[in-house]
Amino acid sequence: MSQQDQSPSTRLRPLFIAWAGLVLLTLLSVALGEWMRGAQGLLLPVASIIWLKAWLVARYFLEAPLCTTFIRRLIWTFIAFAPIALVLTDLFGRQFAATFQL
Amino acid sequence: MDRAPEEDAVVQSPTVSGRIPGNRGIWVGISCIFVEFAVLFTVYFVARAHFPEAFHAGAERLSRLSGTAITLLMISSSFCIAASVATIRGGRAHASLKWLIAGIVLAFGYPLIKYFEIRWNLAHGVDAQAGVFVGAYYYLTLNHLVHASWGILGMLWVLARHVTGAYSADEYSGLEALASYWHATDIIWLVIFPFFYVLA
Repeated sequence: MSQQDQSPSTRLRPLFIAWAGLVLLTLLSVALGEWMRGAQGLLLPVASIIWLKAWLVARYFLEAPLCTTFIRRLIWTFIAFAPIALVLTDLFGRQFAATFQL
Repeated sequence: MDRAPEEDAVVQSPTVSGRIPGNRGIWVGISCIFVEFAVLFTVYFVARAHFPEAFHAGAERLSRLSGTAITLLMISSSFCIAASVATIRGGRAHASLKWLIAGIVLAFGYPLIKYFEIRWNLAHGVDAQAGVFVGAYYYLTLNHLVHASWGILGMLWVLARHVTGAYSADEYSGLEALASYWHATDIIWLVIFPFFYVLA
């Protein structure tokens, strides 16, 4: 990383681009929910969009790459947790439910 | 000499390595909130694993328009707060104040839409007795609303401080702490939204 990359930014353009990306991904996920209603293939793109949107907020709004190691790990772990757990629930949910009955 | 501050790629402050945005205290709080919501998400996944049919049918019962509107408000408010931090770093206190006010106005849209959404839900039989999906929906979304309310109160406090000139290019840790909290709240909503309004 260059010296510039490691300093907090004052630029608005990257923030605006991140915001536009977040809006587009939100509308895309809603459209996917409509087009692929009930389809098996819906979960993976939705999980990917969850991760991508959280990454955009963490990268551009929270400036996670500039943070201390603990904060960086906290953020990246949290934003990875839900998409991974969502996919695992879809793949192994029935086995899990059969093993750990409520 | 009259170059606009945002034309500068970076603040002319000493380069920092491994910084703490805002202050340590807010990150203790954010860590606790992330752990709390990781537990709440686990409850969602356990319920989804045990009652997949209820969760596949659930999204159709909710107002997708409300969920989408809240998402757009959250990300737009988050953008404005991030812009407020970026402009104060560049020494543009007046612009920073305007961005903060815009962020607050958008943030207030969340509880307002949630109020109308809950009225719509109750009119359509989506109440606490409506099954496991709706139970998980109220459990997670109302919890998030509580945390967002703390954020909105924090915004009002930061606004009062900003108006009185408490923040400058050299000292803006309070504003940045509020921004960090609000972005964390935003990330949590971005996870909750598809859980209930998209996945069918």
